[in-house]
Amino acid sequence: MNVHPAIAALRGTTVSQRQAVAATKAAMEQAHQHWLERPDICQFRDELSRYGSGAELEACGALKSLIHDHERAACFVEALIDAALDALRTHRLGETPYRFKVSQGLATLRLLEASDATLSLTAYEPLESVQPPTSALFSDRETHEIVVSGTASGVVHTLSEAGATTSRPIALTQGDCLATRACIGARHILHVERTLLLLQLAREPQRPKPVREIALDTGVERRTASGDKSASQAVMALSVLGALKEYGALDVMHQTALNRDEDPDVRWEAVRQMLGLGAMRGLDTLETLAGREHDVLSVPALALRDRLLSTRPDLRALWKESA
Amino acid sequence: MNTPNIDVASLPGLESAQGLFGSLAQVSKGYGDEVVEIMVYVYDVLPPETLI
Repeated sequence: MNVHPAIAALRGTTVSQRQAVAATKAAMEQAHQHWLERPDICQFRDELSRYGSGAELEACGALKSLIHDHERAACFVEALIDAALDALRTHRLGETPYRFKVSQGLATLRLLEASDATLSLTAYEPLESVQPPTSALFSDRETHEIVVSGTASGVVHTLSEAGATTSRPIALTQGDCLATRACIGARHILHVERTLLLLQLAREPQRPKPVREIALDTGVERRTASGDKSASQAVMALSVLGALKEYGALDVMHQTALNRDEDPDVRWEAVRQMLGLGAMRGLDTLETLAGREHDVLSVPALALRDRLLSTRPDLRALWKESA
Repeated sequence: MNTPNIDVASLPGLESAQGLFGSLAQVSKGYGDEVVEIMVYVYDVLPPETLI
């Protein structure tokens, strides 16, 4: 079997492996840092931060120009690729430190992010038999995209105030710009003739509204999901803490449950996990919530407390004792 | 301790509860570009630096 020398070099002891990997990582990070510190990139990061915090795109000149002017976009992408290739020529097993996602026919790199706004590079490759969609996901995300290269066709969907969807076909070619409005716009790429490379600017509010799946023919809402990634992460974290029997987390769960500024699903999950970890403490928290004014959880808390006390005589006995 | 156990699975969710972020999996056969952020669950908790 032929083993490439660069890989063979990694087959030493664990220590030499770690050293080799660390050296490669350091070099890739350094190259990335150089790119980040370029004056033009610094300006984009600045404006991205302002855009993400709510500034109008009009007020972010360099960013606006980048996402509307093909020459600017192409130069930007070329410079980025050149910088990455330079590093990769020396460190062939290196990884460029961008968050990425790869799936069939699709690859996306997150280049820059600042306060709820992101700049990404996405490539759509030709795929056989992409079926026309029967529904579209409308998310609380505003995007501006420019075609850096390639040719493709797709559909743009708009949700009217009345809840009806209209769709129109679009043809995309080098230099074309596409804007998708939050909650009421969606788009599908259907047919790619030559690999489509898009530079995408996107922003979301701090607490995004739910993502909605809408059927395209009827306008009927099929499903919704949380639009707030950090809230869903918190829900998952709470379940994990509960499953691991982390009694030390009870205080934090209690605070989370009572925090009116927190996402209701997160708060409720904290209550559930508290009940699983310590029934009495959980009931205490339920009791506090049930008695509160102007709290979205007071009604469900009261209902759950009553249900638990009526279906569990053992709980009821202990609860009465402690009252 | 004699504290009775409550099975978390038996406790109801909120009536207004929604699916977790990213749970609306690819709704059409085509490019999986609809849920943009799903991949960063892992990296948020376990950044690449810590994988070595």
